[in-house]
Amino acid sequence: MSKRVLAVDDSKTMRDMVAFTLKREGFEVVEAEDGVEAMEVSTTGDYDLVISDVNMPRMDGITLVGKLRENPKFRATPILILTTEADQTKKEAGKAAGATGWIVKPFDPDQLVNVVRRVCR
Amino acid sequence: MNELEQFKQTFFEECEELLQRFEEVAVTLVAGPNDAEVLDDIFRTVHSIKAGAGAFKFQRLATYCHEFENFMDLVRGGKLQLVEGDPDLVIQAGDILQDLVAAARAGMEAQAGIEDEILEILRNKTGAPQSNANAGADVNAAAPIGAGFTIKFRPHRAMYETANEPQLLLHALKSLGVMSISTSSEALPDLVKLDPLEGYLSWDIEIRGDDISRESVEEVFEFVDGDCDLEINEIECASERVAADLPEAPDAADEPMAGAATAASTDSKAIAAAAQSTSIRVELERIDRLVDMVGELVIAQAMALDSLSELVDIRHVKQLQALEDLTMRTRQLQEGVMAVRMQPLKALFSRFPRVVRDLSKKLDKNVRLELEGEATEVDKTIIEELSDPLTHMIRNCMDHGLETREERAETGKDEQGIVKISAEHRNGRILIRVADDGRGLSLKRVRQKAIDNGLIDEDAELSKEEIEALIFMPGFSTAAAISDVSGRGVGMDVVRRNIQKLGGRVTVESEEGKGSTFTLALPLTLAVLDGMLISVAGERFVVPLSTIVETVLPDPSSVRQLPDGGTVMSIRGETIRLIDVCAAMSIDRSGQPEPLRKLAVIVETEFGRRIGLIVDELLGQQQVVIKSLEANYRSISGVAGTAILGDGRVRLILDIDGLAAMDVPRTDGGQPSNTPTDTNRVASGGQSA
Repeated sequence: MSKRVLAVDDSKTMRDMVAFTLKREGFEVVEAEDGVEAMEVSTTGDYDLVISDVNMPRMDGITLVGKLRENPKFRATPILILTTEADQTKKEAGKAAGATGWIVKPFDPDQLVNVVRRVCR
Repeated sequence: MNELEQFKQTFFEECEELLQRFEEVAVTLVAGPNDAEVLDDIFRTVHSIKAGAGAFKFQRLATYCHEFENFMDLVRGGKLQLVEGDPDLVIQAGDILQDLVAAARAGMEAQAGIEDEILEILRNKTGAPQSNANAGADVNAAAPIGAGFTIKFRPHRAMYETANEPQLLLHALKSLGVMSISTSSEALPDLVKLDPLEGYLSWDIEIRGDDISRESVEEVFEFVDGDCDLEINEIECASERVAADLPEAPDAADEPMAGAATAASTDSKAIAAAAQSTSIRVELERIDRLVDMVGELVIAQAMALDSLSELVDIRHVKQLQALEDLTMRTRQLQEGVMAVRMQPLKALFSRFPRVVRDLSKKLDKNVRLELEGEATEVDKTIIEELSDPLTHMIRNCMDHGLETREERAETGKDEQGIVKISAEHRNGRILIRVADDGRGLSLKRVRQKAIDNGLIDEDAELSKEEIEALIFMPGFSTAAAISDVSGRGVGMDVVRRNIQKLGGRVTVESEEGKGSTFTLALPLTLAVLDGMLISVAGERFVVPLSTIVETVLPDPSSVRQLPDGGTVMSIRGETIRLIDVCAAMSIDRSGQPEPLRKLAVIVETEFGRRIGLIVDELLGQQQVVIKSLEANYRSISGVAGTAILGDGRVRLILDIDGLAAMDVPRTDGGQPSNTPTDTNRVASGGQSA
């Protein structure tokens, strides 16, 4: 059974790049455009990892992290947020909401894989 | 970054959408400058573009976005109010953004300094210092390197609560060097007192190596910093130990900001170097010129071969070999050059899921898109031209082809409709198919519509294929009401014209109730063709080699006339229609001796249908450079293009599909009654080289 990741970002380009990189790592990738869609999708199965952008319409990433952590199913799921290097406060806010870690945009595939390996089997 | 190049197209399309939206909402700022939603929207637009710009290393764009984003962030957060004149500023900034994106997309540099003034104003407003918008990878300056580190690591409860796993961190650490580790379970209480969510274990780690930096060790623990006890000490060659500070998140983060302007760690340099060595940017114009030159080389080579072959015969083995060698190498060169311009269809295909998704929402139909053959490569110039026709065909399938949910339920079909797009190379062509499992073409309705629109006569008798081809005629539409999704009835004929301009053709096959399949057939290479030279009444023509199945000398007993004046031949049980090229091309052969026995060249059309071309002689294979007839003169039915032969003369390339459908004048002087003239010509005419 392959690992499943939920990739959340309102930018298709970002979603494509993340999906491309993680598929190569053996992940099955499920995409969502924003926090609301992510919440809907989160009920449809188990996930081994969640990667979410922070700035999204309808529900932002930090809120999403918080909501996911409230769900027992996601209590122990690694959740990474995508931030930009200027967003220091976001990292802390993410942490406070329960995020496992972060990836700084822009990243190249190797960096992403590196981080994913640190939080997900 | 090389492998991410494939997403550039997606990025630029996304930019297009984002910028369009930007324009729409930015305008509302004038009336309502403090609409939180609008401000947020604008912020996210700039933010998204910045992310992509950074990923693809569009430095100037990324820098600009960074500044613009800063400004918008402050505004949307309420820390900065928009005053009079600011909305216009934002709109202006958006225009500059458009320019920079356009320049990046075109692979060019925008005019120097166009962003300077706006940035100046924005900076003044935000009070920002000359920030180093380090849109590149977030790297730290390389730290001094020691012989290794000792690490004490004890997770707190909080660390487990963020789903961080010590095992994974230790594993990551291990990759830095040679590691020895011991676990301490001193803090473990009795089982009865054990709180499973608490952190009791700690580890003593020693990691040794020649090139381990403190940064790389700290990086492993960057997420859990603060949620654990962490002590990192450098192992010096001397026994002296340096007391390390617990790395704090804010400090580590400040360093990049301050030093980033000049920092360029070996990492990012290596990445850049690697990316450079495996690809190079070339102006399309240069490649086009190269293709042209090689095309002329092929002609020159053919001409040389032609004139020399008069001097050289079987005895001149060395010379013959040399000529053969030359021919082969010229061909290789040509294939190589053509390959430079080939791109996989994937980038084009990647747009379609979105199209399908948006449309299925709009039409309230459940549709699944299947893609096949994304790796198929097509000449770059063709790919760009394919986007519109394919998108239109998908829309057409979804709007007209696929039934509504209720209809599908009634006919026992799966509620989910399927649109399948597949691509493959075949016979020296690219075939792209757009198929749906919808209602198919209603032959009755199509025929009736054509009659209503005066395209055919009431009593015209048409084959199934001929009726299906009617939908490509101008002014045709079977939609009961013209829906705005597929546009007016001009749709399919515009598609056909666009494809024909590329030297291809589009056809449709359909089964009522089951679905329809549209097939685009395009030439692989636009420039060169392998042809068979034939001669009729002293005139020479070229038949595309890929269409030829075989050549036969028809036995008169196997040939017979049909009542409508046409001629057919039986061959191995199959009946094949014969077309006299002379008559088809309206060549007057009076005064020309007729050969005793004429040859029939059996060729295959798009549908796999076979016809026989009656010719006087076969003159041999030749590779020819194709020049468009349509571009230089006008399109003629039955003619696919022109070729420049080895003798320097220009010859016409026969359009097999066009000939097959053509209304060939009867040799007995009567009027052909079977097939209507216009529909055939229009439905299948065009270039097919």
